[in-house]
Amino acid sequence: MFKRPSDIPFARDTSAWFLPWMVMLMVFFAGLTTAGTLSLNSMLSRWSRSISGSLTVQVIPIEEDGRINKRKTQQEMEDVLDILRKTAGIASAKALTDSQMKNLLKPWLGESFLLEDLPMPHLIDVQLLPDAEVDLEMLRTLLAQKTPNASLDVHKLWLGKLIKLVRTLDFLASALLSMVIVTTSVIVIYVTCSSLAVHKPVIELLHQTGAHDGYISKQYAQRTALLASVGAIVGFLGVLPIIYLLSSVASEVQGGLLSEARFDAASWGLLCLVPVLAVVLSTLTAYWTVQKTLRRML
Amino acid sequence: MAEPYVIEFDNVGLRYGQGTEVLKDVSFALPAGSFHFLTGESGAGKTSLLSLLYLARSPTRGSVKLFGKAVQSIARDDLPEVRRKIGVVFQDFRLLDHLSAIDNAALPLRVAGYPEAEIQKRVTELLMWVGLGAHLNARPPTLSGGQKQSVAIARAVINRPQLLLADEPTGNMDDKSAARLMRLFVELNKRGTTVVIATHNEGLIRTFPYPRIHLVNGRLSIYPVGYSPDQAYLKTEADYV
Ligand SMILES: Nc1ncnc2c1ncn2[C@@H]1O[C@H](COP(=O)(O)OP(=O)(O)OP(=O)(O)O)[C@@H](O)[C@H]1O
Ligand SMILES: [Mg+2]
Repeated sequence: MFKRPSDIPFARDTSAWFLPWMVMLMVFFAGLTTAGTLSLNSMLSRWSRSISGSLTVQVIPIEEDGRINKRKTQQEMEDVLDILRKTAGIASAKALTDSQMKNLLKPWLGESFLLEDLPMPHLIDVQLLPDAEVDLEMLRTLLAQKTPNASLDVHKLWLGKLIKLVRTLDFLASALLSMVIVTTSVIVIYVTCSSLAVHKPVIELLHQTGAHDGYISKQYAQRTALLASVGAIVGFLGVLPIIYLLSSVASEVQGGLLSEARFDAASWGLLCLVPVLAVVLSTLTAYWTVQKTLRRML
Repeated sequence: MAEPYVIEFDNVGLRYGQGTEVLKDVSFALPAGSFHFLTGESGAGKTSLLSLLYLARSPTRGSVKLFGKAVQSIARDDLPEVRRKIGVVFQDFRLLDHLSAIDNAALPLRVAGYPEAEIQKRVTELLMWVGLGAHLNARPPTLSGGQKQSVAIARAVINRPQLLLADEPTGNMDDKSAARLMRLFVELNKRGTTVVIATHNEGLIRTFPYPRIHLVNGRLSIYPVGYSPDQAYLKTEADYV
């Protein structure tokens, strides 16, 4: 036996067909926004994890009469390392070896070049103790006084600006999501109210035969859940190829910032919540709208 | 512990909007288990009176008591329970066109949450009894006037109501079918249901010996069995039968 038709002839209300389309669009936009926000934030947290524990000090080679004075430069390097190792909160300070430097420069200069020919700054990688509070300002002044060719590259400074940017984007995303939620609710309320008006005689008859409001609201909730699910599934499926496209573009940008924008299991979980929440929101809104409207009937 | 009166009207008046009163100073009481015809010319106010009884409207003045309770004092949340005790056959049937005969007649059981198996059994039995065995799955638009009326009657009695209100329940039927459905009402009445039937059919009134409530221009009088309001009225009705 096929399923019994519902007591309310929903098939006849034309405005209801508009609901799955709107839910589809809403889930699509909300899905994209969520995916974008999640990958930006995961990128940020990867960076800050890898960056906050470290500093770089660069020492510019000391030139005399147009030539690099290797001995003096080497001495300055030793001084800097000395200062760093005496600073509280620093776990280790190591000058990058020539081969490490070569590796860093390879993408720009190719295989065959001589490091000695280049006036490249020497780099010192500084690892901080976990949770250490290093007084970076003091360290900077100390280095400036004792070793004028050395400078402290504090990733934290520009990371802070980046964090600000991402936070602003987060805020915009949540504003967009709130708008999507409000729009969806308004559409559901509109569709439900117009359907209630169309089916007023049927609803009066159901009341007359002894139906509680809940009996009618439940049918509306079920109907809305069905329509919203169709829209939510299609809208969600629409988001997937875009995420795939973006992440494959991102992973092609080797070593770039974007490659850190990975989409992990937790992010997928959150993204899957979007269509589920859209259906739950629509269903509850429809139920509530019917309850409210019926209260005003005899 | 049945209430002595199922229906009590005290000085009831009803008007639609700003119009004149269609019911005026109506006072009467019907004891539990009684059976009455409700008569009166077209426009006399029969449907209006019944609509007060099935709680579709409230009186403009006076008081209506159902099952011993003033209807104005019934909380909205309690209305469904009261309505489940009342079966109504509407003059215009009010069947749901998209549902089969079975599903239409099953409505009062469905809204009351009966198990599906019991619903199927009871509704099928009743529809067979009213002569719709061959049309269980037919939709109302494909049924004749009399068949629709039978579905409407089945829906009204399926939940064994304490009060049955029927508005011209046999208007679209041949005399044989009408008498058959009347016997259904009589049977229900024997089991305690209070019955009020609005009708123009003097033949039925003569065949079934029950008192009548008569409305003239919104004013009401009750006539015992065998008495009729006036000859002129009877004459025109006799032509109709
Ligand atoms: N919804 C309404 N709005 C305004 N006036 C109405 C409404 N329903 C009925 N009336 C008026 O109330 C009066 C009584 O109507 P009612 O339907 O109660 O008569 P009736 O006795 O049932 O007639 P019939 O035998 O033709 O069914 C009529 O004059 C009618 O015009
Ligand atoms: Mg009438």
